[in-house]
This record gives sequence, structure tokens and C-alpha cells, in this order.
Amino acid sequence: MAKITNHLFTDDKKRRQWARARILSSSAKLISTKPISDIKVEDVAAHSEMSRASFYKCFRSVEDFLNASAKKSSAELLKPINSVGSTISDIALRTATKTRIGIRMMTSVPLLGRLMLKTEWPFGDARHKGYRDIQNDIAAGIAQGYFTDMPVEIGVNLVISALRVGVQDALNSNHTEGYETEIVYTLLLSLGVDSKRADEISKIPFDQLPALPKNGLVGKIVSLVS
Amino acid sequence: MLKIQDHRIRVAASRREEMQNSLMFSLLALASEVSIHEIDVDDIIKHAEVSRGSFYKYFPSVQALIPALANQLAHELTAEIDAITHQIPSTANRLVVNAKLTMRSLAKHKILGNFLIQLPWPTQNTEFNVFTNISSDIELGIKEGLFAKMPASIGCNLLVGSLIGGISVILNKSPSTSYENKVLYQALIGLGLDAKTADELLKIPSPALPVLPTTGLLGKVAALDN
Repeated sequence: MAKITNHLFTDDKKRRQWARARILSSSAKLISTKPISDIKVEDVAAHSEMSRASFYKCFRSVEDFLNASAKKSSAELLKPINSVGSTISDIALRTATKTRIGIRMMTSVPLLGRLMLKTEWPFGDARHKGYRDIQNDIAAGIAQGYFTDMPVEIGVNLVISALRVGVQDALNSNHTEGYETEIVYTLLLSLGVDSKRADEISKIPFDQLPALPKNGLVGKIVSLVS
Repeated sequence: MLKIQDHRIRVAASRREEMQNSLMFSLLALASEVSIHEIDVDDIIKHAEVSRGSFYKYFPSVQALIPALANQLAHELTAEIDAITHQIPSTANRLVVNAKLTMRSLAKHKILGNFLIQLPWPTQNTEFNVFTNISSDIELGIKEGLFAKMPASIGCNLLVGSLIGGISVILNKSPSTSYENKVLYQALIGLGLDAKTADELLKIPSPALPVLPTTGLLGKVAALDN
């Protein structure tokens, strides 16, 4: 005979998942209404039409909620980034191109970029698929002799630093023509690519920017601003 | 005649400072156990053993307490490290020693490291940056032609990002002692130094860690270590 489980527990869990999804999907509209740093629990509750208590059942704080939204959107960007990245066999060029696409995508919609900078790092979640993708590229680059023989995390941190700096500076428009080229060049140098090759790669004209996803959280953010 | 000063003013001021320090210290202590975004006012007043009213008298929210603590720590810690490094004449050498001492201090006093790596980064807010000494040395190095010509923000943030990532790995995974040098090596070649120069710079023995003062927030940290 099937074991009888208390339906109250399963319902509770399902309801929490449903509430979490609902609150997360309301975040797109919410962040377009006011500066991210001014968002209060009341705003999140009002936008998702949930109570404060429901919010606190799913998230510890507004920062926790923003971090979850940022993680969800960055996961959605991985598919288009990888669709271009996986066609490139030269690992140095692949890392450079993926970093570029990442910066471009996140800054093409400033709202998205500001949200992304809310992702916790390095205290955050090392199981995030984006993190693992970078890890794999760096490990392959080290194995194939493109990069210095170093602990993989060091390389991952360099890539993430380059991404974050790129997004931050583009959003605050300290952004000159060729800024991205300089970031990519410095990143490659720091990974151990020699300066001649780094210069060549960073100057390759770049025109393969894939389209931003049309659905999911990112899709919602894009549709709000366009 | 000596002006008579009401002692009550002095006593009240020192009490206020003591209360603020103790609230900040509670946040610092809690941040080692959970993410700073998961800490609420209840946790802090329980840890500090003060009333809710006392908390709200000084800070409107935990969100406001975070930058106050960061600012205070950055101020006290950079002063200690700067006292040791300001007399090193060579910019590159000073940069390396500053970076090493910062990394080691944060790794030795885990409570400091665990909090500081959770701060939002990169940020426009330079006030609560423990890495200001390092950033100014990079700017100077670029001007002096020691490092490749690049926007200072790229160089600073690539190094600071490596340091934050490096500290996080040292705190959580206790890697080999050469890890620190490996992190710095990649960052230095990223700044445009050649491999030999970077190696030599890292081989110069660095001075001993600063002894934490007995006063201020660092005093409380030091008391905890003993």
C-alpha cells in the first residue's frame, strides 16, 4: 500500500515554489520602476501581489531576492553565449569572445547590467552553470597550453573580474571606443597568453552578437525597455 | 582659567561611539557564519545584547550598517598597512607588498576576510574600499610606464578582483602557501609585466604583518583572536 503522506506538507512545499517563481517573475517590472538600491520589501510584495509574510517565506531579504533574480537572468544568457562560444575551437579566442558577448549583452540593456552586478561573488554559488562553464574553458586552456599552469579558480576569478569591470564601467560610461578591446587584451595577458597573440585576438572585429532571449526573466526585462 | 567642560558631553559621546562599534562588531561576527544579506536586525541586537531601540537610534537598517562597518574597517586596516609600506620607494614593489599584506591580514583574521569579500564589488563608492592603496599604486605605475598603458579602472579591478577571489579561496579551501604568489603573478603579467620581472618582484621577502591595534574595531577583532 502506498504510504500515506500528509498532503499539507506537500502542498506547502509546492506553494512555496509557486510563490518564489511568482515573486521572481515580477522582478523585471519592479526594477524598471525605481533604482535597484531603493527597492524595499513592500515594493516587491506590491508588485508580485503577495504578502510580506509570503516574501519572507521565500527570501531572507531584498538583497537575497535580487541576487536570485540576477542568478536566474545570468543563467538565461548562457545559451546564446554558448551558441557562439562552442563554435570556436581556439580556447583563448573562445574565452575572449564569450567575455565580450557577456559584457555586450548585459550592457545592451542597462537594467539587466545593473541587476547582474547584484550577483553575489565570490561568496556566491559555485554550482551555478555559468561558473562551471568558465571553469571548463579555463581548465581546457591550461591543459592545451594556452594559459599559464595555475589553479583553475585563479583563471575563473580573472574572467569574472573582467566581466564585472566591463559591465560596471560601461554602465557608468567611462566607456571609450575600444574599451572592450582593452579589457579583453588585459584579461588574456593575465591568463598567460603572450602579448602578440593577445593583441591579435583582442583586435579581431566582433560582429556575432547573438540575440537576447525573448522569454524568461531576461525577455521580460528586454520587452519592458523596448 | 581653565574652561569648565561638562563631563556629561564627553561621556555621552564615548558611549555613543562604543554602542556604534558594538553594533558594527556584531554584524562583523555574524557575517562569518551566514551571508550578510541573511542577517536581520533581530540577529544583530541579539548578538550585541542591546535593545531594538538602541539599534534604530544609530542605523535605519542592516543595509545602512554594512557600509558603515566596511568604511570603518577599510579606514583602520589601510592605515595599519600603509604605516609599513609607505616608505618603500619602488611603486611596483610597494604594490606587491601592499597586496600581500592585505591578503594575509584578511586570511589571518578570518572574521575580516569573510566580511570584506562579501561587499558589493566593483563599486563606485571608494569610501569603503580596503584596496585604495593598491589602486593608487596601479594608477601611479601606469603613469610611470611600469605597467602597460590602459584605463586604470581595468588594471585596478582585475587585480582587486583576483585578490578578493584569492582571499575567498584561501579562507574556504586552505590551498598551498604558494597560492598567494600564483594569484599575484597572473595579475602582474596582466598589468603588462614580463614573466621574469613578475617572478623577481614576488620573490622579494615581505615585511611582517601589522600587529592589530588595541583600540577601535580592529581592537575588538584582536581581542577575539587572543
